[in-house]
Amino acid sequence: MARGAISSEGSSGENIQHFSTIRIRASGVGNLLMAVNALDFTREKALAPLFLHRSNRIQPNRIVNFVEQRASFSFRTLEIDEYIRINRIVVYMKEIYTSHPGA
Amino acid sequence: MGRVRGHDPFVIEEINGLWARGDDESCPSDHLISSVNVQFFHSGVETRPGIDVYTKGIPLDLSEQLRSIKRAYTYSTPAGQTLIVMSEGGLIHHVVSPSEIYTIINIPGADDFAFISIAGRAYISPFKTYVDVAGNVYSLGMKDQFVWVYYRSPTMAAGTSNGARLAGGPPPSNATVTSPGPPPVTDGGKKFLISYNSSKEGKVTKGVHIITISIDGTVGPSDHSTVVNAPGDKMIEINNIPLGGTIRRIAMTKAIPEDKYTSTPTDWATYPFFLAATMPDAIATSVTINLADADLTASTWAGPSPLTVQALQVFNTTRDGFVDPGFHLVAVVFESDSGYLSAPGPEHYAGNTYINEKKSVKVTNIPLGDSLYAKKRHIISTKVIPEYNGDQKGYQFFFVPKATLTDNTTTEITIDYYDSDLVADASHLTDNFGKIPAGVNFCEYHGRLVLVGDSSHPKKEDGTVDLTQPDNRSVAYLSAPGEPEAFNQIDGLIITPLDGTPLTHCESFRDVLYLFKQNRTYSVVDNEDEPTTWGPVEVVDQGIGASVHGIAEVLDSGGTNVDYLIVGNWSGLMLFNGTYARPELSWKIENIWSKFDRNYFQNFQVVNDTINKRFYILPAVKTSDEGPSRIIYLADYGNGLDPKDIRWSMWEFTSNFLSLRITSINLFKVDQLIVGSWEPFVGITDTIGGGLLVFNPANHIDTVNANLHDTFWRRGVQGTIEGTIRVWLQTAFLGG
Repeated sequence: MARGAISSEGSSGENIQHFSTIRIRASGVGNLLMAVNALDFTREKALAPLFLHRSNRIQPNRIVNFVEQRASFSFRTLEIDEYIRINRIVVYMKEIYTSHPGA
Repeated sequence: MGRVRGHDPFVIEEINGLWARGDDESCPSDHLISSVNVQFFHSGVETRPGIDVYTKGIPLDLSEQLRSIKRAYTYSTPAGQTLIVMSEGGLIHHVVSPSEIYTIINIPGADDFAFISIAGRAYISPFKTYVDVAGNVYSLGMKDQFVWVYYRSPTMAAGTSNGARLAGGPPPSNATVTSPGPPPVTDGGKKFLISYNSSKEGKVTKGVHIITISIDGTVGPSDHSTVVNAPGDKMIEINNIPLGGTIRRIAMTKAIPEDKYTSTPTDWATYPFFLAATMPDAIATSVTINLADADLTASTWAGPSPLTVQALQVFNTTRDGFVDPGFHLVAVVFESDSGYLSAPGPEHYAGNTYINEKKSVKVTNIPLGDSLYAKKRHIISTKVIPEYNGDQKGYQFFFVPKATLTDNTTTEITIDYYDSDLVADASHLTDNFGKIPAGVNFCEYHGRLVLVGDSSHPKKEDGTVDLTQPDNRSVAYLSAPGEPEAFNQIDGLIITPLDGTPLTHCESFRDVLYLFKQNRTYSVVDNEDEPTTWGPVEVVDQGIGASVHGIAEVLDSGGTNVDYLIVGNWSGLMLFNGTYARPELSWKIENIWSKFDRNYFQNFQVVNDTINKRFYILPAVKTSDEGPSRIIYLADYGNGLDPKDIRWSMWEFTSNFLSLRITSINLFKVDQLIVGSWEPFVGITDTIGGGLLVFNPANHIDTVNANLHDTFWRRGVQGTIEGTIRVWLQTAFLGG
């Protein structure tokens, strides 16, 4: 079962996860740039940006397809006059391995 | 819960802000490793508001003066809220509106200033940051500087300005006589002959004796004389005998019956003067007379000599009135436009014996004051002094009823009073500071103005500075109740332990006065007597204190909240409710707090927006550093004022074209956040509108106007610089 961070939710064994999809309830103006990072930020994968609308009936998905024991997601706006409002983030993940080969 | 292609959802429903405690992996899933440029609403985040120039439309020269802001405070006036701002170079401005600004003081070298508004008046104290031999940085009142007071009348026309003046004010002083004719006078004509009955048994004949002086054979005029009503069994003491001349003699009449004495020049013609004493040397200024009338045989001198005497004098008159017969001392007190009552003056009080209980007395040579400061002049007097001892400050003075001059031109007044009319005490004014030494913080406690962080040294008995004594960094001064400029040097102070560290802050809370050092907290309670008697200073905490801006000002009022103080210090942001509550409110961002530079806590500042339930915090960093000093920390306590519920975010002001260094924050018009910035741009030499900025919720751009002079820009173009608000959110490390 997926868990959150170690300190508050505890670890279920640090097995290797496949992070497949992220779904965000976000609105605003501009492009929301997203990326996913491995522990210690040693690996980063950019996700497809999310074009923001002031109002939107859809909570869009973005494919993540990232295999790591843990992953952190970043959300950025970099352009002038952009505005973002986020109130929910859903990450879909599945345990696929117990350990790295030889590790 | 619904799955997607066999994957389980992990839902982050609450976004509870920045977590900077321990490793990144210890960040809970509902927190953020990075939370930049966002504010919070229930369960979510959004881009913070943009900033804009507050002082739009001011002339370019003023704009240049306001380009680099050191500190800004909200100044509540009878006409509404305004700002008091210190800019680079120690210039202090009154920002009445975005387009109406007046420079009110220039204090070159000042690094910062303390401020408090009382009864619509602004009290301002410049201070500096010093470094000791061990490299420790601390703040103290600026040396040889003083507290200033400023007031702008609501009726003053726009475009006209009055500057600030030094708070308090000097005691009255008479002008020095540069060319007195004979007989010479002592201390430039400021000191006047005083005679009185001695406590010693003697044989001076009962009755009124007129006494004057003779220098080199001439006798002083009638307005340079004094009278004594001798009881018949005492000696007479004479003080303030002028120096100068080869031979100085005391001339005295024989006893005049009380009912014959008229206090007019007629007396001089009627009653001859006799030699009473010859001064033995050129140094002595006092003498004791023990002569009966029968002993007065030496002849008189020629008529009076012309003389200009500036000394305050009090005479008996022929006008019908009422006094209590006997020796009285009389002095003068100035009252300023703010109601401040000066120490009594001039340097030498008038003293004389009132002879006739049915006549008035006249006070002459009443000093004039600075027209900006002395708005009224009051006559004060002792009650009858049966045995005067020559110490003019050793007696209790009272305000004489109906003896107030409301102009600044009249120099004499004829008055009547019985001793029983003397009710309003003026003795506490005797030891008031003429100029109040500068400190680092103010507060109000039981109607008293409290000032801490004085860098001056104690004075010796002769009034000179005693550099062998430690400075007054551990002393808190308290004014008289209701008189914020009347600080008594003797009993208007509290001394905290002399541990070498200066007092940094003071606050009144739950009827207790708390005094803070950087790492100490003390308390003291009013016992309704003078502050020096307030009993032992209690130690509240030996490890936690506050820096000079380390206690949150609440909204635009300054000072405490209804039931707690928010105190920032080396340990963290603490809630103080009589003791410091732990864990500290900054528990979630301990990694950041522990990196604050302890030598720059004078740059730390916290304000409390209780309307929107937020703290805004300036970090303790060197303002010239890159990076952190360009940050304001937001602590949102909308979910509860608890370390675990506060949501943190960093607000950065470094983006494409903007690079603001934040030096000051304050809340204005209830909850409008004003930001003072230092040289807003890198590589741009001018700004329009200056460095005083305001958050505008309607903006999603940081906007500052600029006059572009750098070669990188088109030279000489005036325009708007728009900075991007770059949001960066980084979730916790999620996983299994």
